[in-house]
Amino acid sequence: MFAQQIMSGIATGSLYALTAVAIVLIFRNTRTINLAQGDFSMVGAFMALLFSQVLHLSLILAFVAAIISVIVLAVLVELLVMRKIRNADWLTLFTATLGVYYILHGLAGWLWGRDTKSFPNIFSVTPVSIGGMLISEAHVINILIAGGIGLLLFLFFKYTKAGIAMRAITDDVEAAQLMGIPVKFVVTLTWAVGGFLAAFAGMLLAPIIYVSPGMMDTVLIKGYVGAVFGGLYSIPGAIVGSLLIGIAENIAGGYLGAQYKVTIAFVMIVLILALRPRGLMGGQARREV
Amino acid sequence: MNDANKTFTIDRILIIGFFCSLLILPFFVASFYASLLTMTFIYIIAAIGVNILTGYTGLVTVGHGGFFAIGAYTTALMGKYLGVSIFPGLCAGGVAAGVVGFLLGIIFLRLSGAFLAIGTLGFAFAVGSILNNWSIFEGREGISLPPNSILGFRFGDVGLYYFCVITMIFLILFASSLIKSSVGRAFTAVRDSERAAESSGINLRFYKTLSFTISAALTGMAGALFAHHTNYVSSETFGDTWLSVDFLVAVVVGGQASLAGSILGGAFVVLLPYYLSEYRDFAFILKGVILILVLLFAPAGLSDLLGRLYRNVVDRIAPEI
Repeated sequence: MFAQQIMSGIATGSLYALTAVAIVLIFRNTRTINLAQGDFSMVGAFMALLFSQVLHLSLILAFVAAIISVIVLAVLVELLVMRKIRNADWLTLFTATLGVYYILHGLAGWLWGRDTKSFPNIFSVTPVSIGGMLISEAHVINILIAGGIGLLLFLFFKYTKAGIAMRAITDDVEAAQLMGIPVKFVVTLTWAVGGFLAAFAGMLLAPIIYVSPGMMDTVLIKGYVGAVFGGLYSIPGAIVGSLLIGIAENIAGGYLGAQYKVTIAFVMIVLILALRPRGLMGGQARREV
Repeated sequence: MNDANKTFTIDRILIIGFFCSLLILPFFVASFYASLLTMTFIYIIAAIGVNILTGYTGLVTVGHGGFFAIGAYTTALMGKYLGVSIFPGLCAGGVAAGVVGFLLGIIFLRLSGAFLAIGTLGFAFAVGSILNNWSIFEGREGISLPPNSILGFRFGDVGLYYFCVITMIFLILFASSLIKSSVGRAFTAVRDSERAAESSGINLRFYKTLSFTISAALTGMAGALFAHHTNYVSSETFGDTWLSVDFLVAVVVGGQASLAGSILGGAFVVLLPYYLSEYRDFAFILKGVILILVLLFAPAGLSDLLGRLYRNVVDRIAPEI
């Protein structure tokens, strides 16, 4: 029972991690706390529905098209809004993403309506037995996909030129510029990676939380908790934090009652910040924001 | 008369004229508009509360909806169980929010920037989920308040309008004298450079916590007025985190560290969705577009933009005064 709850906690936590990692990536390269990250996911889920149910593409094609459209959206947000104010203080950047949040929220409500829509369940929920634990197939596949994306990111940052350039900007923008790294392009690329992660988060969460303009609001907050866990800087920290929230809220939901599922994330955020202002895994000496 | 004195006199006349016109306005408009304007005053008070912490002290908060809710529920519960009326309810709401603000200020003392924003957002969510789950707050069922009265005299929309306008003017005077005092200068010193402030003998812990307390108390009073305005509180309104975001938008759009900015910003967040209420999604889009346009073209807010415009006009039409 207990081990089972931990397993399904890890399954939800790994989906939160997709949001948390994107928040960290965008924050450490652009100082922007992206409030529209959840809405990128929401748009992704709606686009997948649009491509599969209205345009009758096959599911795989619809998903690929949805991922591409979210990446395009994220890049457009960077080019049209964020690039123009990139030297402003962080509050300006933060409120600009809030503006994007409002626009995407309104557009989704206008184009697709405010009622919740169901999302095709690609993976069956019939439980499979792993090492004596019963766990639904969807959970296993979610963990595998999230893990696969994590591995992909690791390889990207370790071996590709673009990934190394992104890390260089994180460490020191000016030095990176002097070394001939095209900073503007790499920042756009950072937003594109954020959009890529958002699309996966949206489409994997949609069968569980259904599709509506406000679907990602609470997930976004959980992503922030995960991101803060890594000090808004460390990707492994953000992943561990997200998994811990997933586990904590599942255990709280199982033993205290479902209504405490939501509360636990906020208790965690307050505790982490009160005890370790730079996050449990964040570095000590960082540039001030 | 020199230049500074000239604009100072005109400013003063305009400000007093503005407040006086608010006092006689109910004689000319329907009571329905009085109710809408009351809502605007409430948001203005809340925005001033947020502005003291975010604009003047430099600590960004995305959690003041939590204090708004604390003020509202304090007066609602006191009205329901003790039969307390609006004025003691307003004071109690302010005190309750101030105490919680003081405690939160201590907990978050070491935080700044983005971390503080996320922490306060977590606080607002926590308040929302407490309202939904603790039985005394009656969740989505909500609590109804007794009809508004002062010293046994009942009053309606217009009476509440006067109560709110007087409270707002009083709080604006309080805020503006606070800002001009040594305390206000300490706040701005903390905002501009914590290290410089500390080395000139400003006690960071004291002034940050004080700013948190005052700011929370003001927003709590706004919440108490809101509860009396709708005569009803429920977790549906107060559990919504986007309330906190609205206050921050009011401060950023209106202008940080400017009381006139909070007035403009408060009016912006109340009146725009109101006039577009039939096109709710369009109101969302327009709000986002205006927010981004303000950030792109008037980063110091509407008050700065209108202030410059107004100076030009004054110089042109009255160069000889």
